[in-house]
Amino acid sequence: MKIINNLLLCFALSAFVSSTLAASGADTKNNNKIVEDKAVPSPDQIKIDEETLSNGLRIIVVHLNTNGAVTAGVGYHVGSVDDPRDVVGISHFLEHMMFKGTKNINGDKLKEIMDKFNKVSNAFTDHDITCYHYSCNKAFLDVGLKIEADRMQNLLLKKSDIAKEKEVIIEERKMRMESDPRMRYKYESAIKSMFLYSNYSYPVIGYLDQIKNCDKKALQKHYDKFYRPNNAFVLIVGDITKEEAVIKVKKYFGSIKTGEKITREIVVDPKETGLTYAIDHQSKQISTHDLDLVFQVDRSLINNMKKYMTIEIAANILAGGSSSILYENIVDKKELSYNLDSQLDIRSYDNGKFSVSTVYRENTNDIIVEKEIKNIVEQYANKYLTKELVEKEKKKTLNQIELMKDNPDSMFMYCISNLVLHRTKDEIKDVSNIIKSITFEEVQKAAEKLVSRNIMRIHSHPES
Amino acid sequence: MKTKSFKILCFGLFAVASFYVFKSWQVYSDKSTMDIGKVELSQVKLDLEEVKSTIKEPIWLVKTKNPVVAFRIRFKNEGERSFSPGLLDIVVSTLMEGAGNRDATALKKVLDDNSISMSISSSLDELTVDVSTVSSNFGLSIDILSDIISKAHLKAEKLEINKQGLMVSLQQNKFSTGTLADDAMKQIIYPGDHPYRITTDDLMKHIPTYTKEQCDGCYKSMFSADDAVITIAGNIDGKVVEEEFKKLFASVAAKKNDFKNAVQNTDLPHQEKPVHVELDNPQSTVLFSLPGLQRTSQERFALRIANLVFGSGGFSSKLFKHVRNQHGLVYGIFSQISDFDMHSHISGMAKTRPENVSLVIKDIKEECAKLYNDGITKEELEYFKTHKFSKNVIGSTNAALDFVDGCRFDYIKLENVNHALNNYYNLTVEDVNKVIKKVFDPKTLVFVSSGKSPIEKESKNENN
Repeated sequence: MKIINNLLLCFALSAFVSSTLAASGADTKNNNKIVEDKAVPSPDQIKIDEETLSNGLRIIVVHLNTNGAVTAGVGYHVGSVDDPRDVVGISHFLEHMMFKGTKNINGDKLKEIMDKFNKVSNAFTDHDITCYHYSCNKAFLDVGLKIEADRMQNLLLKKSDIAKEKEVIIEERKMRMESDPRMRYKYESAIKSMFLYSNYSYPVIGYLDQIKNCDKKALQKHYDKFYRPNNAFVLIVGDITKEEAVIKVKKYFGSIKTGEKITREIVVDPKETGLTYAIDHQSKQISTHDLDLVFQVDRSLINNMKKYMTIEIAANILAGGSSSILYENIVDKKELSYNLDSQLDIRSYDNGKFSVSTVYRENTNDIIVEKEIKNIVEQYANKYLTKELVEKEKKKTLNQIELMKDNPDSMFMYCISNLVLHRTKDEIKDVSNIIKSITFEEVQKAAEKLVSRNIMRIHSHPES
Repeated sequence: MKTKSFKILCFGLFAVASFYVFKSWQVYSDKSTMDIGKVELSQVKLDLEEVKSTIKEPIWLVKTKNPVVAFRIRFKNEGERSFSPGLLDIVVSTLMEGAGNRDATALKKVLDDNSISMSISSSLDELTVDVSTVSSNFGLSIDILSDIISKAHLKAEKLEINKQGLMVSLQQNKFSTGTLADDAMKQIIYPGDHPYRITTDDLMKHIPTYTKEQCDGCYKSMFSADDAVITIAGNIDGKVVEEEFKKLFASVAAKKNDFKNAVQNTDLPHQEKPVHVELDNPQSTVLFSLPGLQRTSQERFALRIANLVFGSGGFSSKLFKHVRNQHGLVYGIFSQISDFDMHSHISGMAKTRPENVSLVIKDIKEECAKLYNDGITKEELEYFKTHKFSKNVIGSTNAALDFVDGCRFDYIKLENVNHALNNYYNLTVEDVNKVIKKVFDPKTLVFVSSGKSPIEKESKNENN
């Protein structure tokens, strides 16, 4: 039971997995050949199938060679973006309550069963999704599905459990935020400043006073609205056929009634606010000098898989890992920093961000480091970017997909990150071919746009 | 007739009412009605092979289906304890800063461009090399590793930078309740000049003093063919494995293996009252320890089951159920077996707000006492046998490597790897309870906390 905010998500998953938090709809005009459903997928494709039950529940099955192992889960299209303004954190609170039992099984028993039969059994809440997932031997798949189906419809919200779980969530918040000033500033203050009016300015875990005031009525309302089959999907990855998976899912979820169509009241920000923020944070609890430069990624730049993968390639060449242009210059050649990395962070309904983060050395300062980074960034598309770098990055990304096909957990998270954005199976299946079709000129254009608007600078350092 | 109908009606109403009362009782008295059905267990089946090698220990190969290869080399060279505090850390952190004819940038690039994940880490007892990549890059990964273990540049300026980097992160750790508590616990568990008693202060004192010559001396004695234990998993032929590792060790000096079998202590000193380390932080860390068993003991499998019941069994452990679920005092709590060459004990951790530290300690003591006095039941044993089985899901090449290398670490012979779980299946309640009496005596518990002083609240709790 944890929160995966976008910062952590990127940290936890491989660069590629996070990269595929792509936007809507494959460019079917350009990729008609690619998205055509073939009986036998090419070796490059991901073997993925989909079926939707009459109650609206999507079933997505990805077949991999996994020696009898499967990773499965239920995802709900609900996250902190759906939290009411006065109960920020309720989606995450509800995720905790989903382990407290149903009308048919008490919380202890539920947790015991999930623990007993699964290698891993957990859940996470993000801005756009709440997901309950588990990895197990295929023989145990039914157990998890039965429990998930039960808690999709029969959750029991007991006041005594709510009171106890509040305390646990407060401890969780203290662990993640109050005890970690850098995290608090980099994440909580940053999203608060980055989004003016948008629901994406809410921290997933919520605020202490609102967590304390969250009650049964609010939780029940949230559950009744969002925990419906037509707002969910079941994803199964591993050594299983579509037929096997569909029979199992139908058996447990087939009779659940569909819910009303969900209308969201999500406020998004204007395309450009014209504001740039600078956060300076000093604390005696901090001994490193951290500088983050955040660039706005307009949602129109990522609204299909190809555009997104192009931006992702541009981002990785510039600042993704220790062989990137910025790393090579700032860390290796100029020796200004200890390390440097970046993150492309995409939302379902609003602008995304691209942030470059570095821990600089004590013998320099933030002004010099910022100037050096910006010098490179400004000349990136026309001076530093080469055809050779683009081809290398494409090859690297394709290798990452091959590695992902060997690991059901990685593939599961890759699919989740796409399904959050209501992707179709064809878009997921053909990502390799989409990558191959990207040209140098397309990456060059994307590179220009990627760093065109610097919206924030976060500097955290020891108390002077 | 009327009376009879009335009686039937009354009986009917009574039956309906009773049914609902019964259902409500079931729900609110936490009785579970869900039947999860019968689940068949089957043993892990891996395709294993012993490959000839030029080194002392044979190479173990696990054949998997996907085009991915992963291998681990454990250099049993006495690890950090055989060097001065922090010296190995500096050298290990500088290994990737250039080797053979590649400088730091070229080395990182070749790894990154070819999707080769390579990490070298040190622990108290050994050095570990972990590599994974697509099968087609296996040979290249060996070439690169060969350079790193025999031709690393270890330039003076890079060593200095990494010394500074290590000092910065150590300084940061001084503000962590976890680090402070851990340092205090080491001083209790490892008395006098025990080689494991290396605290943050020791590291900070020694690291700045090391010279280039000392680092070179450390590097020369770090890797020896005679110390290497290799396990590999992948879709790869045994002959290829043999040739590649022969190549790897051709340039590594086969020094005489002077590794001494360490005496593994399992005792802890008696503690009168918990030790507290002050740090102004909104959340405190509680660490606890119990004695252990020797890693060659026949009872080690029973101990693992006992520890699952106590604190390592996730949602199902006694600590999680009691301290988190019943009392809502922590977000997470666990115990684990800390098994090193020279010491083995059980260690555990929880984080809570400062005023709850004494309550958490009280809960841990109570759960330990209950386990010690009552032992486990037959049902609990059966539950945790399945729990153990379900954790051995081998869905990826890396998971196969982890499982087989884990068996090797555990002195299980190659021919017994596919039956490793029998060590748990064959256990009886008496076996486990015998171990519980040896290890889980609450009088032997040792506690350390770090955070804001809990003294004030402790007396308050006592008064209450």
